[in-house]
Amino acid sequence: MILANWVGLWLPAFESAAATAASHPPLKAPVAAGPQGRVAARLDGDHLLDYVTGRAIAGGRYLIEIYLSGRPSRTAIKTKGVGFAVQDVNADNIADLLALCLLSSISDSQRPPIVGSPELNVESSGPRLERQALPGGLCPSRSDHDDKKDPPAGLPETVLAGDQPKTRRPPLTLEPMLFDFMRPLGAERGELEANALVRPSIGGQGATWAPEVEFAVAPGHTVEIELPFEGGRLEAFKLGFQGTLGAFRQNRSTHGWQALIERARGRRRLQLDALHLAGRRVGQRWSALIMQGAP
Amino acid sequence: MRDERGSAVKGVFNPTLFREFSERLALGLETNLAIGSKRRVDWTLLPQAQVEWRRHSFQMGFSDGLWR
Repeated sequence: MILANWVGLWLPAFESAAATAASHPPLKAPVAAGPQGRVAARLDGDHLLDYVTGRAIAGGRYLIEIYLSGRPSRTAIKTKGVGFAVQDVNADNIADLLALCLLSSISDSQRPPIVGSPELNVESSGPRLERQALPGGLCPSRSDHDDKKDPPAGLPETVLAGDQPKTRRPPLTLEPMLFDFMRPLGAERGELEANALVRPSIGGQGATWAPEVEFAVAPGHTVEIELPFEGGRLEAFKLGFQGTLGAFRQNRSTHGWQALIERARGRRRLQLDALHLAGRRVGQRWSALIMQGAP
Repeated sequence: MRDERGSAVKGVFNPTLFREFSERLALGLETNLAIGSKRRVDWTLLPQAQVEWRRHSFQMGFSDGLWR
């Protein structure tokens, strides 16, 4: 039997964020003031890149500071040419934050370096930040406000990675077919989804289809209305609720609950289904979901 | 939830494994175990593909024993 599921998705939160990003002025070419370089970073799911600054320090070296969205809020590299930083955030002997800096020229050590470029390579298991230009030569020292997320005054708006939307991606965005989520666990408020599961007619029986609408009424909490049809006949009415209990293991695991009330056509009795939902992302490509419960 | 078994089902266990091949394509293998009132266990295997196109998502699956 073939099943097909179409999902039409409207995400107001993402729409507004995209519009904000698009409204920023085009990237300005930084004025050459010293050595130039690039930063490549790989961050765990709990961190996003805010921005990078660079300045000259004693000994002809440069201090490259990478500011992050979570704690630790900063990691630093001191280098003359090539340097790296590795941090184990959770003390589990696994590197959570990796950053590599490459300065292409060190001929003028008195001037702060220009670090980064529009092609800056930033990899993260969270949302990708696609545009970071980081003219460190324009950045003052950050030693006086390490814990602040606001950029230093005078830093051009276009150099901030933070001008990209910081929407934390839910750990799991894929959904099974037989049992489907009402939007992913951890959905943002206002997310709206309409979908329909269609089972084509095979062997003379009428096609069955079940359109449904899912809406996140609060962060991580969703309601659903589903109308199962057989041919053109409405068979039941379903009302569902889903809640997110939390995310853990660096936002790679999550769990929640689902409750559904169903009233079949021609029956007075209501049926209540209760389910526990658990999901785990393994690496960048694999994810597993388990739904268990009692109808 | 799309479980359409009757009220004779007393418990369900629905594990699914997904592999993302790109931002637009993911394949999944969904298993559904349904425990009936007389300890009868029915199971269904549902291979499926999910394709993203613009802001739409399409899922297709195939099973010869769905909702037995």
